[in-house]
Amino acid sequence: MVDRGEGAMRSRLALGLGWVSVALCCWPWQTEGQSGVSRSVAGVEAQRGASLGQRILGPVAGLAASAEWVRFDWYVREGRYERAYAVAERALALDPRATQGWTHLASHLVFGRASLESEPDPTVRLRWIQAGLALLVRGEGQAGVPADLAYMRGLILSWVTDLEGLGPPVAPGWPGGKDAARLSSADAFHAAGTAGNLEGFLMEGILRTGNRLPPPGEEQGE
Amino acid sequence: MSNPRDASRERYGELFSLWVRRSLDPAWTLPLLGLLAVLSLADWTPTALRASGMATPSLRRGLEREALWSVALLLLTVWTAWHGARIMWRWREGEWSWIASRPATAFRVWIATWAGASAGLGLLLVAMAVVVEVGTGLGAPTVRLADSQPVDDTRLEPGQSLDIPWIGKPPMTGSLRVFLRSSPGGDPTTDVLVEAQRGELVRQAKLRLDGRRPVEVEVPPDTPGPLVVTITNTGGGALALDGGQPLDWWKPAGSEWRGSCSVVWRALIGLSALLGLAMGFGGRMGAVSAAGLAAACLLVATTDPVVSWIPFADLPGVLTILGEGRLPMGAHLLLPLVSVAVAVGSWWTAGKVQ
Amino acid sequence: MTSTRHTTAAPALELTGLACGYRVGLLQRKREVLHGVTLSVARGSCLGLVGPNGSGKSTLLRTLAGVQRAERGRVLVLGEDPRQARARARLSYLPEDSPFPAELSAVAALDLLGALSGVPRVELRQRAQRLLKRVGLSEQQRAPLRTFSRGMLRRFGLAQAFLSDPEVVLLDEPTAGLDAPGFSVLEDLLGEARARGACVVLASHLPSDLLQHCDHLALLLGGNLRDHGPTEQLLAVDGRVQLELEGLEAAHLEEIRAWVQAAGGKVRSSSPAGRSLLELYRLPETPDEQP
Repeated sequence: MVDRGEGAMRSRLALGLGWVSVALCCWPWQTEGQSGVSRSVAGVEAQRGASLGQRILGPVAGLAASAEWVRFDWYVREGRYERAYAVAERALALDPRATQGWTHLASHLVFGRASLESEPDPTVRLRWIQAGLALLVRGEGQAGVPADLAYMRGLILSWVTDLEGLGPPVAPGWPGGKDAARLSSADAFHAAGTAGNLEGFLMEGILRTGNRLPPPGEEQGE
Repeated sequence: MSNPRDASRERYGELFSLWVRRSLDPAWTLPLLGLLAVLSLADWTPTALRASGMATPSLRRGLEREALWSVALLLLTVWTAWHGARIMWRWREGEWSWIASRPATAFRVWIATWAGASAGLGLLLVAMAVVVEVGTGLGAPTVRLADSQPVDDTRLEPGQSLDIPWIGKPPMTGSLRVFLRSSPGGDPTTDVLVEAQRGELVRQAKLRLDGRRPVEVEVPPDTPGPLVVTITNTGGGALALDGGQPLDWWKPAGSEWRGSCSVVWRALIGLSALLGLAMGFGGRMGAVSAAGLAAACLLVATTDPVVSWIPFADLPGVLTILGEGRLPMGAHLLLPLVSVAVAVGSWWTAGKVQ
Repeated sequence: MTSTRHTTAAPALELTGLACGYRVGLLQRKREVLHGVTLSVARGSCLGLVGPNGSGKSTLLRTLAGVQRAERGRVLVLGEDPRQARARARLSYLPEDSPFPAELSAVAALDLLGALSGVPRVELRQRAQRLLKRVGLSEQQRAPLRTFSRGMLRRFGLAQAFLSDPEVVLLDEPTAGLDAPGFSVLEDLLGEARARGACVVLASHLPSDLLQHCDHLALLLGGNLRDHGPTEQLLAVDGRVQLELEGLEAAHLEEIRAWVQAAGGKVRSSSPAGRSLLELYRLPETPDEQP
């Protein structure tokens, strides 16, 4: 006999919700992109809230993210970078407020993949550096301490301007040259200072003064 | 009184068809295929890889294939263990009454049930492959793992070389890949030169090694003579040859979609064996316990990829190869026999259902 | 009611000291349901198995059908162990519930059951169509069994029980959920089976269902065979008869009552006799039909 009663409806509903839950768990959640926020983090404070993973998992999200970072390190050691980055994305989606996650991945991209020891081709190194910087920009909209990410961005941009290994004159080098990189670095330190890391203002001052860069608001852009 | 059995024998085709149908229950298969279709719309390429510009179309498709098949097989494995364990539960709940009172032989009923359920799983896997390939876009011609040769763990100091002669049928085309690692004790990075030489013809590949990386060198074209792979540490740090990963020969093969065919075949064999196991355990315990125990056996099988004749054992490795946009080697020839043997053996595990 | 044909002297069913049980609980303790049942049923006869719920009727039938193994004792069906395929080929069994594949249609389910019984493919479809028509399921033959009512499932169960022209028919609660026309169908099928010399065993806890069909009764109580014998002998009470009168007036009935009392007897009950449900269903729509 066909059961058309309440029980059947309830079990269908439960089954449907179960499939939706499975779909949510399997979806490749990635941290949202934040375009055009390279200058200041203040404007994106209101957007920082709990991710879907955090809402679903609650306090367990942080633990799950930690487990994913362990897997990330293992994949990097094994040379399986594609899987490593996929795992890192999931860790960041689970706990985007964990600032260390953003800095850990950015460090790997900029100081690992883009290092002279790892990659002889300057064009490829440039791409890895830009990937790391883009990651930090995204993170500033979501991390718990965006000032740290902005400060790191400033350091990286300062570093590349002094890094002769980025390429001889015939290589691509940094778009816009050293001046553009230093200007971007100063802006990043300014954003860090605005967000609460006062050392950022100090670094900004050193850069602008030492390189005769215009004050914030007067620059032509990166 | 005429006894129709004098003129005929029992037939098991209808029972086989019944279990094909039960394995394809739309209440389960349609949501699963729908889920795969929805997941295939997502972008499975990590942002960092995309931003770096290192994600080739082939790699993107491979990552998507690997992700979709991983999800699909995880769900299907859980369901298969449950489905197999439930068979015995259904028999105990009453279906055995109308089966056992027939002159049908119990063992043949068991085999017909297992074969029908497995055939249904096979059809479902084919449907899943279609969804995956439509989602990823079928792909382009790629390389297939043609052969592997074990290598020993070896440490090379700066300036040292290691010759690895290829044993067996010599590769005539394609490339050879070996995994190397910068070894502690000196500089954290080093440069490596890998050469493949056959006669006068040499092909080279150079790499700056930081950590563990695969190095791939082209196979010299069809010329007489043995093939020798030489690895030279040209940098300032120590170099280690990773013995855990063999020297692989990759040769040009068909399109990327054939990777899904490999997965379907291996998964069918593995799931059939899992089904048989779950049926066997289901004869001795409740459905939940039987399903759990069968799934635990599966977990054990996948932790040792060296034993390639165990169903499911090499599937994680196959998915990794798919994730690189490549095709795996053909499955071990004994695999289908192992699956049948597991199903037959489970008949005794269940206590020879009477 | 008495079978007019006995093919051989050997009994159709022979049970000697039969004991059956189940293992229940976490520790799988043995619980015996039948305790040493000894019974013999002749070919061509119809045995009614009666007893309250839990007396072991279903267990006995399952053992005769070869579905369940006997713990002790001996069971022979047509001279063979029912766990042998040869014996099961000559019997059929209708379980107490209807555990048939609910997703299959009636005709597909009969195909499956007939195939497992070894009915030749050529004959199977014809027999299935004929039986479904007999049991009144011709119009629903393409509908899945899950849409059938309890009575319809019982009818389907009867159809599958007679699909292979068995020599021994075992029916567990065949009347459960059956309506009046269904009863009529059951009667016809039983009559045909007995006419060809088949042995029929009916199990029911409602004795009134079986009285008109069975020439022998076996009483099971608590897993023990308390009594068995011809129906009339088991149920008869000396000097008690049941009359159904028609066409008399109330005064005549009083006279009959007085005469019985004068003759030393007793009128135990008197109530108006009405139509059976079957007669009610068959009320004439045209003047030619007779109830």
